[in-house]
Amino acid sequence: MDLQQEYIVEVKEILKNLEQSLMELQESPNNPEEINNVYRYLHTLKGSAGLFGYEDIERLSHEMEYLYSDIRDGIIDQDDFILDLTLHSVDVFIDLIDGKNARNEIEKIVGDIQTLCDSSQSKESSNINQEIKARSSSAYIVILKPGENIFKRGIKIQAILEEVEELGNSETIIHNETVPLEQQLADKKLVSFFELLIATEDEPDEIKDIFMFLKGDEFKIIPIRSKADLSIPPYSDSIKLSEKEIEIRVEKFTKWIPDLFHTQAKKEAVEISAELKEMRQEEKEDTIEIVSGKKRKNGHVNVSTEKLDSLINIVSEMVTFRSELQHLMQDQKNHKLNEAIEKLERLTLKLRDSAFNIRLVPLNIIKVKLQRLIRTISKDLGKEVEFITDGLDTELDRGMINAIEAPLMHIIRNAIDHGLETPEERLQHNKEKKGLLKFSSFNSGDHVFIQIQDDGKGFDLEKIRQKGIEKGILNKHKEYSDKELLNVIFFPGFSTAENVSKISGRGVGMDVVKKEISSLRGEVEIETEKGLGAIFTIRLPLTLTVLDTLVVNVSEQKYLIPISEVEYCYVAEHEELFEKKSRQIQFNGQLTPFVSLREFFGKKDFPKNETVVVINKNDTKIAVVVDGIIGKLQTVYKPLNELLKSVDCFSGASILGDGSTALLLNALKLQN
Amino acid sequence: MKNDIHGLLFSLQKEFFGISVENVLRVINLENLIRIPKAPEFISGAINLEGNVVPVVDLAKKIDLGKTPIHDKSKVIILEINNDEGDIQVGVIIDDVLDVVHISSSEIQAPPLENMGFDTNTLDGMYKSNEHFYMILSAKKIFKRELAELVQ
Repeated sequence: MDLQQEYIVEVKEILKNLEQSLMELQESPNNPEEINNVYRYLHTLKGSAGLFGYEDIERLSHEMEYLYSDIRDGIIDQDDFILDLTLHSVDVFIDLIDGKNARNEIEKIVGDIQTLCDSSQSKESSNINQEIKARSSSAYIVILKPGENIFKRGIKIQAILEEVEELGNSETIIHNETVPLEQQLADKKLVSFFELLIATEDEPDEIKDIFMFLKGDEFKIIPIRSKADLSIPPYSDSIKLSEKEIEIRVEKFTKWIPDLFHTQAKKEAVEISAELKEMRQEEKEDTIEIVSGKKRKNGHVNVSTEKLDSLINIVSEMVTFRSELQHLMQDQKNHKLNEAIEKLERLTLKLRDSAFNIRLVPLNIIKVKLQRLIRTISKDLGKEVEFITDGLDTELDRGMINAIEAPLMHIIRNAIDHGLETPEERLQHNKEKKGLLKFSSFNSGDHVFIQIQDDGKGFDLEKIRQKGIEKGILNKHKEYSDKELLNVIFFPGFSTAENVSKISGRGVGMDVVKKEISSLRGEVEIETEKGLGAIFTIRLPLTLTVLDTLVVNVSEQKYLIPISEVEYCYVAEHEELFEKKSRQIQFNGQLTPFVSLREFFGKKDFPKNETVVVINKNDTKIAVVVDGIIGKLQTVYKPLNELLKSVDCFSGASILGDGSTALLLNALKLQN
Repeated sequence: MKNDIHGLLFSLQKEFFGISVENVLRVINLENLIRIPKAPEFISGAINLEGNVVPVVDLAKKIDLGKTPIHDKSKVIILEINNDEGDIQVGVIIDDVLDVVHISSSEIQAPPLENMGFDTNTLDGMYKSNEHFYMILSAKKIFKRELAELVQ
């Protein structure tokens, strides 16, 4: 990745964090910590935009920062209008970083900000003065020695220096200026280095932010607390000063902060308070690590999914190869060799687990997106929604989270549009004015459950029935269970909304949701109570790739059945099974259809004793008759090649320990 | 065919064929083939190619040349066919690999269309060496119908 790209990634990360803080502000508009966070994100955004020449981003973030500094200082109150404005500007930032032109939008936002600020101008000036007195300044010297390739990396020295000026009082001393600086900049050949004297109220982190695109060895931030700091390391490592030069610097600092060098006691106090600050900072880091963004970078690496996938592939292959090796060594009597193989087994399994673990991310990462969606929709529809979440630390495969996002948004859209009532309606029905929407998740076995629950009016089963008959999906004369009726919602072209609104019900509907979830080997179910609401439950496998299977054989070839679908297995005589023409067995007092794989695959010969595997998938039961069961196997799921997509009785394949391939049965598609 | 190609020459059912190496990933011995019940007739089965499940096609059957008996020396050319959605890997069974040659565009003639005993719509052209005629197959044309179905 070159620096430009790295910058774009960085900005997107900042915007994500910004969005998250804004969502927090929606919950508690006066949370000073979040306001401060927003301010800091905007500040960082502005700084880096300047460095990379994104002038529009710089301009907009500058104005926004200005607005939020007023909010932070209590001059303007954070309200819904400002929140909307800020959210809108986040969208504009995203457009800008994607290279789109959004001048008009910027002008509009800037205009709005100026109106806001003007109206509170008079209040401002007096407050600010107090502010300056209240806060104490600290002194720093930054030694900036950019490397030779600084220009190639697209970094503008001038922009950094300008930013330093904004911190407070500062002065730049240019060392080693054998060629005039301007000449150096024009020639893109830097021989000088810089010493920046700074007196600022800001935290050291803010200073560090300015240099975020420089390498660690290119700058040094040295807090100045006494005169002696100027003649000892780390300062003296870079610059050796004469007595007179020290005096000049001391004078400068004294002018900015009169009591900086005054007394020993004072110095100690500053030191202690700095330490305290550091401690508090650390505490904060611990608690906000997951919740809010910036500090999260500690110990996190962004890796492209491509790289991850290739790692997973290699690990999968290795797991298979290890099985193959063990298979070859089966009759080995050499103990040492056996031990080594066992060790290899443990290690490969560990390796596999941790490799798969890398792909798992908490569901939390889509929360902000959903929050924004809910905010927009509920405003458009004039409904009030309280969004609560639970268990969003549940982890899922990254690819799966990406794929599940669109279906989730669709379900939420539907819930707000068709499920939740307007505030007036709700009051009439003795409900809280605000509709409740709950998004929760939990693990169970090797599955992850995601639920979306609303306390709206629920599904009207009678209406569904009529509509289903109307559309020719249901039979007029047949009795349907509630579950069957609800299932109709997932049929193509079915929509219960009387008016097709622009939010949901655009013809594409719940059938697409179901299809997408199925393609992840997941399932979706609805429960509803008329007048009380509805719950959508989505069940997904933990990862897309690992699968516990039952290995069965049918005329010399092995097949796999997902263990989660297997309900019961038993041996039966062929004669008995095939006695009648009907292909049904009695299982738990119920008639259950069965499919003999030999028969299904067109074989003419059958073993005397057959094995019946009863499969239960989504409460639909079907028995599969195979030759026998070979064992249990944890395998890596491989999708079938495009050319084999038409063969729907197999949903995929896996490589077995001996290197051969086995097909994964899709039992429900076995009936013709 | 305007450009020169590197052609992989092979034999199948006593006929001589060529295919541009651009589409050839590699040639392997046919081992561990599993049957896929209910698959289209021209699919012989699938193999494990470095952890990926790759379908193996009876090429002779696919181009209406008959059925290929599988024997110890059967070879599989793994083809990679570019598709809008990404590359598809598929193996085709042949009898034997003969050579890899450089064929300049001037050496490529229009293929005969009639009386060949197989589907000549799968051909890109014909190449004549000193002794033999080689029918140059196009990977894309062989699987034209299947690729079209994928788009839907």
